[in-house]
Amino acid sequence: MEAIGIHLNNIHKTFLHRVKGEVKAVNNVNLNIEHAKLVTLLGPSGCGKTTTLRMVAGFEQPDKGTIFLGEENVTNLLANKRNIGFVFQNYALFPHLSIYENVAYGLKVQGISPQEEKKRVNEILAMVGLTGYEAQFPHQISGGEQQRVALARAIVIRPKVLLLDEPLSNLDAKLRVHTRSEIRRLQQSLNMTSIYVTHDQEEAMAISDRIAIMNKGKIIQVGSAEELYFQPNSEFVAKFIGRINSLPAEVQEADDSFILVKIFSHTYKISTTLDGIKPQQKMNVFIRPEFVQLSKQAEENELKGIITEKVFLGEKVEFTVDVYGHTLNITSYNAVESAKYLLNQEVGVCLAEKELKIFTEKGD
Amino acid sequence: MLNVKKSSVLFLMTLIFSLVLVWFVGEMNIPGQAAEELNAYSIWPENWARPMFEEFEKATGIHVNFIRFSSGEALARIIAEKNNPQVDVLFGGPVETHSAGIKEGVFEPYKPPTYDVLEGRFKDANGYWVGIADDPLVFMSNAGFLKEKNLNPPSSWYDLLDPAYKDMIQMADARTSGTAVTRIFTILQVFDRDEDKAFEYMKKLRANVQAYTKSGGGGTIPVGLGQAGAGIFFIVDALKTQQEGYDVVVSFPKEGIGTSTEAIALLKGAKNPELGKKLIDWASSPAMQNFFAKYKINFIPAHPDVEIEPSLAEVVKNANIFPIDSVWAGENRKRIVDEWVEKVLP
Amino acid sequence: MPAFFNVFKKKVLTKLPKDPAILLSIIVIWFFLLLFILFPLSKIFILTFEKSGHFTFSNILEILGKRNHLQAFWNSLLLATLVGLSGTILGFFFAFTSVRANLSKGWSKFLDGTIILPLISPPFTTAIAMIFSFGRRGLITYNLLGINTFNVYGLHSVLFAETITFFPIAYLTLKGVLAGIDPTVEDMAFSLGSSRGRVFRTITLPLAIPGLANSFLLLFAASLADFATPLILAGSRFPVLPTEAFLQITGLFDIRGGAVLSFILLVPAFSVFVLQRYWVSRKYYVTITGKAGAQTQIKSVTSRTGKIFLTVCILVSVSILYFYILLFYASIVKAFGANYQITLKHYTVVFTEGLKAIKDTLFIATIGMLLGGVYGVVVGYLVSKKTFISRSAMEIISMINYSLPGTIVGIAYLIAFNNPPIMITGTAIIIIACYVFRYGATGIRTTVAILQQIDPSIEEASFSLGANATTTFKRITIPLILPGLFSGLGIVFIRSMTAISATIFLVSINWTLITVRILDKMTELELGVAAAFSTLVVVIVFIVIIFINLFLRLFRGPGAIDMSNILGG
Ligand SMILES: Nc1ncnc2c1ncn2[C@@H]1O[C@H](COP(=O)(O)OP(=O)(O)O)[C@@H](O)[C@H]1O
Ligand SMILES: [Mg+2]
Repeated sequence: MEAIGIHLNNIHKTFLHRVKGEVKAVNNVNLNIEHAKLVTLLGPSGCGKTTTLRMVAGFEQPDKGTIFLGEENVTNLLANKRNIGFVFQNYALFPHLSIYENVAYGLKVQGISPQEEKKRVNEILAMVGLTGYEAQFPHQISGGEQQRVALARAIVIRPKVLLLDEPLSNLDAKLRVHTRSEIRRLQQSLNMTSIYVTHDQEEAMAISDRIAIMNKGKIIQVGSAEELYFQPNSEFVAKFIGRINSLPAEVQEADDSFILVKIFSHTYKISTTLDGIKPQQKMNVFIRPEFVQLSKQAEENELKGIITEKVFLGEKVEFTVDVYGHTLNITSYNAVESAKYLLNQEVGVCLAEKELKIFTEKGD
Repeated sequence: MLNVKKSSVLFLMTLIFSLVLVWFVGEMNIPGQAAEELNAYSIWPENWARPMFEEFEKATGIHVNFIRFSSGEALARIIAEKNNPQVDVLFGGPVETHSAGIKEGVFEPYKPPTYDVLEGRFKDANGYWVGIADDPLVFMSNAGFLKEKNLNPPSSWYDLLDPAYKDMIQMADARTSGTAVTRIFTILQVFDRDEDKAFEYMKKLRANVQAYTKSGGGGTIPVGLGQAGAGIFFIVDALKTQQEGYDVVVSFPKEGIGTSTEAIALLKGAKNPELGKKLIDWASSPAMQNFFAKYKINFIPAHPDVEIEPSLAEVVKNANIFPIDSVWAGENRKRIVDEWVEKVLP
Repeated sequence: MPAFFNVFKKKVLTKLPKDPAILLSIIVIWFFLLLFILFPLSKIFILTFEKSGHFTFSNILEILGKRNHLQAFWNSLLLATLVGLSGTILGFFFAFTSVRANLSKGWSKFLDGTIILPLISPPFTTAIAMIFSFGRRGLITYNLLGINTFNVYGLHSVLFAETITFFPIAYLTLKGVLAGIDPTVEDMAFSLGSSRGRVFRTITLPLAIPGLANSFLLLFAASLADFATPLILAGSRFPVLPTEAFLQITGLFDIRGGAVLSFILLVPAFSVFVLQRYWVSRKYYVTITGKAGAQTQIKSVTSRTGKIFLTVCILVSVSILYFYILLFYASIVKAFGANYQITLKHYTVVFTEGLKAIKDTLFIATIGMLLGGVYGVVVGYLVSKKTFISRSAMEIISMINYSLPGTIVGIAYLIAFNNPPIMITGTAIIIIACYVFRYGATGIRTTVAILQQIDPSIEEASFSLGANATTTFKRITIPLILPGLFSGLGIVFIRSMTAISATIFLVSINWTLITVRILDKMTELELGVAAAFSTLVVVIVFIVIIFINLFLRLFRGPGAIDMSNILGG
């Protein structure tokens, strides 16, 4: 099957929640996914990922906006006409049907011949490594196997697109890593345009072509893992992908090409432009832990701090440093160097000036 | 440690449970009879029995606890409780019930002072029961129904076989009702005790029967309301329906119709025999039967000295009414009822 | 010999509880189970199979030789099957609508509220209302449709009335089953290309089948045991076993015949009990759910179909309501069908003549409730938390009187306790014992259910926080089981207020019951008074339910079991 793109335009969805009242689960979402790509919706629990996915699948009707699968506007098409493979978080296996019958269900609906059905089911079961499990029932197999049945059932109908809603969240850590590369492999070999939902950033970074960060019903930023890490467009994205320190700062001077900010005792120059910035304005400046360096003695243009915590993690060492009453996280990948620093030691703290970031968007 | 605590709570609960249960057994088995109280099963409906017993209490100070049963039920209970009678007196009900009871040995003979004054059919030769009233059967029809179907009030047993009555007749079920038993013996008598012919007739009549009711008067209101067209009832039930304002017509068959004695009897092994006898004395005398008119109970008094109420007299004036031989009926009751259940009922 | 002793020691002695208090409790409970359950039942067996000291089948053959009785046997099975089917279908329809048709809160409350009515009503309620509505001069048949040839007596009426009376049981059973089906499973089938109809046929329905079977059996048993409705509505052309047994005893004073008939009734009733316990209950599908997915906007019915379903359900509910309004109306008019003048005279009768019955009933129901509650907790605790040698036997036997038709239990008690050594006919104790060992079973079930819900780690957690055993029991265990226990007690009370099939044989001159008075008044054609009594029972039961719900709201916790769930079974 020719892979096709998925296009969400201005999607809105509001629920009437029993306790919370009106909930804007999805609030003006735009998303374009090129054919054969895997895009992950990543965001905290309750941000609207599942709802978005369910609208693509047709389980939920958007209040506003349109959904295109390739050229076709499917906004008003019923779920059973969309030819979509869906993998539920809880697998949703049919408990009264055997593994074979579970996988064959979609084929039976399509009315294909028994021989063809058998061939395709066996093929797909082999692909997910479940040959020999045909006669078992869902409650007789393990969680990982159930997960693979769910996957097999979704892809056996050769769907135009594959949607996966936190498919790995019920598996243990090791199986999770293994299975996610399996899914990626299948997705690429079968050329299926896919949306993958997760709240786990590592999983998202490992599996996706692109990641869409969601928060409170909105997509905050879309990009590759690198883009999101190095060029987050908002405080939220920066905090959600990796870790980042936030420091209080006061604007000293603003120009067309740079801003001078004072952080504690020192002044830093950040090469960026912001509209309407005035001197004396207070703001937060951000920096990732690996761009902060320690030194034995505070140099002229360095901040001073005391090490309050040191965690040795093998390839890296994480420090927590108290700087003028502010907690700063610092990561060092130099084990030899790090060995020199001890708990409660007074140190110099060096912020890499070109890695300092200012966000106009909070993202939530 | 937990287990000890819990199990003792549990045991305590079991203990309380069994103690309360045992206490109840003890409490209940001691018959807590006050001196001036007696117990009775009444076959008369509560509406009639209650005023009678209240008058009795006024007159004598003796309180009557009673519970109402259809005649079959009352008899069944008395027989079941033979070893441990719960009541002293069986009050009212067609005499066939009492005759059947004699066979079972549940009654104690007692001849009240009025015994000698009563007509022969109002007393048992050995004094096992005495009559307190006479109660003939009647045909009762809904006036509207008759008009609608263009019928005259039925004046022959054969009139009831008319297909116009199909599914429109209600009468009592012989398994529970004394009315039904009297009716069946009446029909036997009408056919000169030729059982084959009588049952033949009853089977034909069955086709027109809408429902067999549990109690003798069970069909009166349905007939009154027009839910049923006609039925065979004791006069006392029929006239009550009329008095309540239902538009019903009472008629008698020319071939004759049976009447049954309403009787009272003392139970063998009664716990309050003396009080029971007082009730029998009172009930078989004008003392009680004079109240029939006051409470609009349309029984014909059994005691010769009690005036029959004029309007009641008017109703039965020209009717062909015959008594039913209670000895014959009592002896054959079970067999005939069984046969009726087997042949006619289904 | 020593070998034998070793086996004995291993098999028996080691399994006896070490704790003497527990051991004693077990012995005492067994004593009562033998006395009030097995002993009376054995009397039925003896009467059925004994003739002048010999074992014989002739009693059964003789009874079944009567056309009427044989007919009654087949009729009972036919009726029970039909009620099982129609009640299950109607119940499924309601359950499906309630779970899958996106009902607004108001409507589901309305449906739940009215559906509960038949479960807590005194006997005869539907029967009385049927006669008022569909008799020859019925409000509907005559006044509304102008029909006067409709015969209200017979299979059709009993079927209708019993379906209305019992389908709530199916509803409650199936609602649980349908709600337990993970909606994403249906979504999935839908997404695989199935049409709505196909999803229903291939997924929803197959998953509900064990529930349907269970509901069918429950209704079958309920109908088989029902005495009140056929007594009023069946008419003589459609005899059924419970009424035949009743008439055999009360009308023909044939106790052996009654015993034999109830034995014949026992055979299908017991089969259903066994089937339900050992077959259906094991067939439930384990729905695999991980973390619950997002709430699903259910797609199994279109909103138009949903509206149609809702409309039908509302119509049925409204007709149930209509029955109750009619009942109330009949209790305040002079003579329903003839004279519609408003009067309080029926209530005057209820509160004068009927006062004794009311007092007796309340007294018996209260004592029965308390004893039944204690009994339920003790047995429930023993069978779910202790292992001892006769544990499963105790569990099964304690359920017998509850599972068998009341007619059988009543007749068994009548036979067993009318003669020495235990002569308690005519006392309140026989009625109370009947209730305790019959409805106390609900107490057992609630207790077992609650204890299963309480994770042992809760108690352990309390210990780890430094509480001692007594504190733990007082602060943790009791509050957890109290609400459930309380609703269990309420059920015993309600059942005691509304039961008749067993106790009709046990009332006496000293102790009578409202329900029996209702039957008396119906046979005496004092329908107004019967309606007034029934209304009174409904009111009392409602007060009890409100009381329980208030209590449950105060103490809501994991121990709280929905009242309606217990009412259903
Ligand atoms: N059917 C529903 N009814 C009411 N509220 C809902 C429903 N589905 C989702 N929501 C609400 O919408 C929000 C987004 O939910 P969801 O899409 O499931 O989040 P996520 O999958 O990102 O955790 C949540 O606040 C949730 O409570
Ligand atoms: Mg989700």
